[in-house]
Amino acid sequence: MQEELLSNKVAEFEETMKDMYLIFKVDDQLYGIEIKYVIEIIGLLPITYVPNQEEYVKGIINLRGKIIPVIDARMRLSKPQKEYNERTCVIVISIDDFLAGIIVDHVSEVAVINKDQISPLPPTYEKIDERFFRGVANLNERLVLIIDCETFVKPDRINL
Amino acid sequence: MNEVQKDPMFEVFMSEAKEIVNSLERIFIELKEGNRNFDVAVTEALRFFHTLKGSSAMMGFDNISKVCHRVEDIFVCMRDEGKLPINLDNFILDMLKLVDFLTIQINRIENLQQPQDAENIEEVLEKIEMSLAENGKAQTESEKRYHIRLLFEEGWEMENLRAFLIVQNLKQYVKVLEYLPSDIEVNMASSEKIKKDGFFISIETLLKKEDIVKLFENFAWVKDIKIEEVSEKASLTKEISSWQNAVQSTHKLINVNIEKVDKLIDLIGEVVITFSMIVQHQEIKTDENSSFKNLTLQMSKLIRELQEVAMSMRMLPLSSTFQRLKRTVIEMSAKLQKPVDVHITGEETELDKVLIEHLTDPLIHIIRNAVDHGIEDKEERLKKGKNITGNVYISAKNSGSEVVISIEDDGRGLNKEKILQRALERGIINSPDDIGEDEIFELIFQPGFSTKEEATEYSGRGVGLDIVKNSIQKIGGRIFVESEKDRGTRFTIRIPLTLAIIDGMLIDVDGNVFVVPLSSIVETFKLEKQQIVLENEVPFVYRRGTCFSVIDLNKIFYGNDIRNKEKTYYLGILITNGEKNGILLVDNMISQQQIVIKTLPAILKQVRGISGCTLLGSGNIAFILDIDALLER
Repeated sequence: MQEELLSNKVAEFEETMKDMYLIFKVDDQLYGIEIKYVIEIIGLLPITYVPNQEEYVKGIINLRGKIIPVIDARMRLSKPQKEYNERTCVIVISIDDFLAGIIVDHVSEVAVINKDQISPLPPTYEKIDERFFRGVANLNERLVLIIDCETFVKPDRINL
Repeated sequence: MNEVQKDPMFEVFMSEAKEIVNSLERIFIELKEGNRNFDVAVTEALRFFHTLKGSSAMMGFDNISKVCHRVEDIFVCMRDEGKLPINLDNFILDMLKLVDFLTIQINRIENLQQPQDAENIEEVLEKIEMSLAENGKAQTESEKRYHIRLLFEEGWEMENLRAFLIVQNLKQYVKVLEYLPSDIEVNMASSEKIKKDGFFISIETLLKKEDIVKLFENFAWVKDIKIEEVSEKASLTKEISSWQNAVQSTHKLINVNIEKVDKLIDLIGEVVITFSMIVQHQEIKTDENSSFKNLTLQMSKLIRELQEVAMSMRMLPLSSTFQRLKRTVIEMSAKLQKPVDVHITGEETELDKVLIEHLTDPLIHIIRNAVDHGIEDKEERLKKGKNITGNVYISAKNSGSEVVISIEDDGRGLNKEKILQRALERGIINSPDDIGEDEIFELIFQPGFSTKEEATEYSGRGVGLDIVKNSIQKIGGRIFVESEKDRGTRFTIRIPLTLAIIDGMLIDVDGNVFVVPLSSIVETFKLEKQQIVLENEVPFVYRRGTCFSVIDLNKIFYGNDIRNKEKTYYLGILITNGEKNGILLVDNMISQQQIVIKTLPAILKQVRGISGCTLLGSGNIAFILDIDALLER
C-alpha cells in the first residue's frame, strides 16, 4: 500500500516535471528549457579557452573536478555580444550522460507550460535558426521560445 | 544496464567462473611444462570442474554444466581407476581447447549473447574420452616422495631452530632429502623466511600421507601442514615457487566494480585539488600560526598516500597476460612441430588494468611472429649448431615511471637485405642510402610491411607490426626492435605505469598553462631570436649539428606568432617521441609536477596537439600536449 502510494507520487512528480520549464533571458527575450535537463545553475566560473572550436563554444570550466564545456547562448542565437556581469549565470544541463553549461543573461523563473500552450514557430522569422526551437509558448502574454536542448548544445558537426 | 547483470548472484557467478577457467588454464600449462605433478593436477582440475558444474547448473547455464559434467567423469576415471591419457601432450592441448570453449561461453553469457553451439567441443570431449588408456596404473610398493610445507604459529620466535628440531626428529622415521631454507642451523635470518613463506621439506618414505601428518602432531608450533606426493625428479625449489604462487593468490580479495574505483580516484583527485586551494588561500597563507601549518603538512601527506592507494587499486600483475603468451607458444610449437621453451620473468610486475587490456593483443602478435618467423625449424637449427629447442624469453620490469616488457627469441634474426628490398618495392624508401644502418629495423613498423612471402595460420593475415605499434602508442607506450643475424630478435616495449597520472612540465603559452609529458622532453634551452631561421615562413633551429623544426605553440593554438612578441630570448624544449624530434617554442616554464589526466568533453571538436587536460592546484585547467600529433604536423 505504502509503496503504491510512493510510486504514485513519483509518477505524479515526473508528470508535473514534464511540463516544467526553466525560463531565462537573453536581450529581454525569454527562452525556456525543459527542467529535466537542468542539473544546477551556477555563477560564472573562470573559463579556459579551447582552440579550434565553434565561436559560441567559450571553452571549458572546472565544476568541482568535472570538466564541462560552456557555450554562450547569446552567440549561439546570433545576438550581439555583451560583457558578462554579475547577473550572468551558467545553466548546467545534462544530455545523454554528458554535461554542458549554457551562459545566459539571467535566469528568471520556473514555469509550467502545457503542451497545448506551445505552437510552432511561424516561418517568417528569417534570421532564426529553426533547428534550435521546439516552438513558442504564450506565458502570461509574454512569448517564450522553447529551446531544443540537443541541437542547441551539440555541435552542428563533430569532426573526429 | 540489463536486469540480469545487476543481479549480485550473477556477478558472483561470473567472477567465480572466470577465476576457475583461469586456474584451469594455469594447471594445464604447468602440467605441460612439468612444473606440476600429474595426480595433483587431476585432483585440482576435478575440483574446479565440479565447482563450475554446480554453479552453472544453479544459474541455469546447462550448456556449461553439461560439458563440465562430462569432463568431471573423465577426471574421476583418471583419479580413481588410475587411467592415463595415452599421449599427455595431446591431452593437455585438448584440455586447453576445452578451457577456451568454457571461456567463450562465459564471455557470451556476460555479454548476454546466446551460448555457442556445443558441437565443436563434443568432438574434443570424445577424443579425450577415447584417449584414456584402458590399462590401469601400475601399483608399486616402492617408496614415495613427498613435498611438505609447514606453517608455524606466530609468536613462537626462533623458527629456524624449531624447524631444525623437526628435521632431526623426522630423520628417525623417514628419509629426509632436502629442506628449505637449508641454512637453518647457522643463519638466524632464515627464521624470517620461515615466518613468511613456511618451512619446506622433501622426504622419501613408505608411509602414507596420514601417517606423515601424525609425525608433526608432536610439535605444538606447527599450524598448518601441506603434503603433496611428487614424481621422482620434482625439485623442491620448483614446487616452492608454485606453492608460493598459490599462497599469493589466496590473498583476501573482493571484487569491486571498476566504475566505483574510477569514481573514487576522481573524488580523491578533487580532494587533492581542493586541499591545495585551501593551502594557497590568502587568509591561510598569511596566517603565521605554525600549528596550522603542521596540520596542513600532515594532511597533504595523508592525501598523497590516499591517492597512491587508490591508484594501486587499478593495478594488476601481468601474470595472466604472460600466461596467455606462454599458451600461444605451446600451441604453436605443437602445431608447427617446433620445440620451443618459454622463459618468463617479472610476471608479478603490475600495470593499470586498462593498459593491460590494450597490451595483450600486440604482445600475442609479437609472440606469434617470434615463433613463426623468428625461430628456425629443427633442421635449420641443427645446421647452425644451435640447440633443437628454440627459446622465447618474456620479461617485464619496472623502470622509473615506466614498465619495460621485452620479448626475445633466439631465432634467425631479422634479414636486413630483405627488409631493405621490401621497403624499396613498397616505395617506403627511394634508395638504400636514404636510411641509416640502425634505422633499417624500424622499417618493419611501417604500414603494409611484411617480409613473409606467404600467409600462414599464425601471421601474414594483413595485421602487421604497424597495428602493433599503433596500439602501443595509443596507450602512451613505445616499441623498439633489436636484432642480430642468427642470434635472435628482441622487441622492447616501454609503457607508462598508468594512463591516469603522468609527470609533466607546466609551461606558459600566451598566458595559458599547458603540460608537456616529462617522458618526451629531451632538454630545454634559451633561444636567441636570430637562432630561429625562417625560410618561406617555415621556422627551424640548427642545434648541435642537427636541424630541428620549430613548433610555435602560440601560433598553433592562438594564431599569433611568438616571434612578433618583444622578447630578448625564447624558451625552447626539445621533444621526441622516440622517432621524430622537434623544438617547442614557449613563453615560459612554470614548474614540474605530477598531473592527473582528464579527457576533454566529448562534444568539443578534437584539437590537434592536445590529448587531454588536467586540473591545477589553483583549480584552473591546463591542456596536455599530444607530442605525437605535434611532431606529425
